[in-house]
Amino acid sequence: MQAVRSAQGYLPSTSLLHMGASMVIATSSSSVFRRSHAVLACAVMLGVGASALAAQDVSVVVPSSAASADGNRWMNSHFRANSTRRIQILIDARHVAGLAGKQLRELAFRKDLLFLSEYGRLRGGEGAAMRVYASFSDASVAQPSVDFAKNPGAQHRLGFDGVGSLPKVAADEDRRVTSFDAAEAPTLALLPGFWHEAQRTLVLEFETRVNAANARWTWPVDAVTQFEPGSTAVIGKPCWDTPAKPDATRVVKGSLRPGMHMRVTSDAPPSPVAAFLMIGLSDKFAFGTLPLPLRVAEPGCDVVVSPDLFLTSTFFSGASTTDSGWTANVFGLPSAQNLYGATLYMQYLFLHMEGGQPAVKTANGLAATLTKNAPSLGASMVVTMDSAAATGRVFLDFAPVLRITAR
Amino acid sequence: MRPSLRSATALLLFAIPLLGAGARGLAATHAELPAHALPAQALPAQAFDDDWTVDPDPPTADQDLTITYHGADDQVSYEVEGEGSVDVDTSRGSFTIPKAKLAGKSYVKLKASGGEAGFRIVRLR
Repeated sequence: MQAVRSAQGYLPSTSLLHMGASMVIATSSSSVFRRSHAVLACAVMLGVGASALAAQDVSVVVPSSAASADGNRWMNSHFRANSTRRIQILIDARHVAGLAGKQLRELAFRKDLLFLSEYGRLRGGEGAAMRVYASFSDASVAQPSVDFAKNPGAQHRLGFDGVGSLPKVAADEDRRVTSFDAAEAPTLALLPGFWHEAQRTLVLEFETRVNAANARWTWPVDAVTQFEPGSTAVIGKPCWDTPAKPDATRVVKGSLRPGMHMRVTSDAPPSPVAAFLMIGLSDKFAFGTLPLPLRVAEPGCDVVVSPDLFLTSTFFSGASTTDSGWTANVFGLPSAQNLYGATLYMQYLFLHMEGGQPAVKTANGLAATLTKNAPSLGASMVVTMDSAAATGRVFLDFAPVLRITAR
Repeated sequence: MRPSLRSATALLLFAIPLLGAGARGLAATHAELPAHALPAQALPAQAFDDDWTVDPDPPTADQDLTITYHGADDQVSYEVEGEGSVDVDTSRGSFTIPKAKLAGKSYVKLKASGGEAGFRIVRLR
């Protein structure tokens, strides 16, 4: 397969020129030998030139919107002293169409202009160990699987296993965008190269390692994202005394969109025993029949959302003797079309001890409305801090700015 | 409380342990939120510090506290002891809590939305 691709990728234009030269030789006569010899020489030179042209490097910048403009985000995951990451980047076929017929040979990251302070902590020459795998697959960039194994193609191969050297760069900038010059851009060679496959998703996977356990340096890279915060609204209030926090329960901000993760957190009432997160599709009727709010305890403890799903929750201990702690849930939203623009309702229900007796408390409810906007960047990621984990957290419309070079 | 609501309440409370234990099974039969939407297990820990760094370190209540977030969330939030949550834009990586907000306080909670390394409690000296 690769031999066929080699013939298609490197030789078509030069083959035609060589054929032309052969025809000149075949039709030449002694009377025109000198002239035909000159023609032959020109043809050969053209052939050599065309061969060189075909073998020249071709590069694309992903996402293409960042080719000549700084991205609107930084990413601080690839080059860090003391943390590990498994990062899968899914890139839509349109971004790499310009590499058709070539082998992907090199990746370069770009210095970020928003998060400059971290560069001042670097001496230059720090090494970041990582592995990079690559393949083309049929995975959907708009709907990547949280399961790492489901996104790459069958030929997911190691292309880099080594230490990338981090250049020393200035911690202040007056440029509008930085370059991919190796003097200021971490660059990784992919060996062997990866043949471009048309109309397929490029999956790049990075496994980073701890480089200096006691160091704190990082080398942020430029990135692009489309933040879709959705909206949230508070319903009711907690039924215990929380004067400074009328919204004890909150959605911790991240993009509210189908296919991504969502985290909900709540302060707990005193002496908590258990917590449950209720998730529903209505704040008007429980299970479609019981009118809401539904009083479940006094004083004023109401269930205000339909408990269609009832999740157990994790407790975190308080930060002090006056802090009763909090609870949180994180869960992936299904990547379902009918969830775009949908509103989910959430509320925590607590069991706690009150005067030596078990009691029930309810927190405020939340209405979380997901974005109506489908992914459009053509790049997404699945990320985890545990390099051995089988699943990760999905980030739609998010990718580091990469220059991918092929030849 | 009206009898019907009392009955409903009793039913709901009686069902809590069963519903809690059976949440995954319940989700599997739900048309809108299938089982894979649910967490497979509880969060691993409360206070990974991997995605957060603070300056000064160790922090004190009599100095401005600069917090750097290294994760991927566009917004995070913090809570100074006894105060409400404050949302912060992370596009520049760092943000500063002025010392006036920290006077007399013993901790700051940092929250991001990630399934890992999302929370940290910064104790002030």
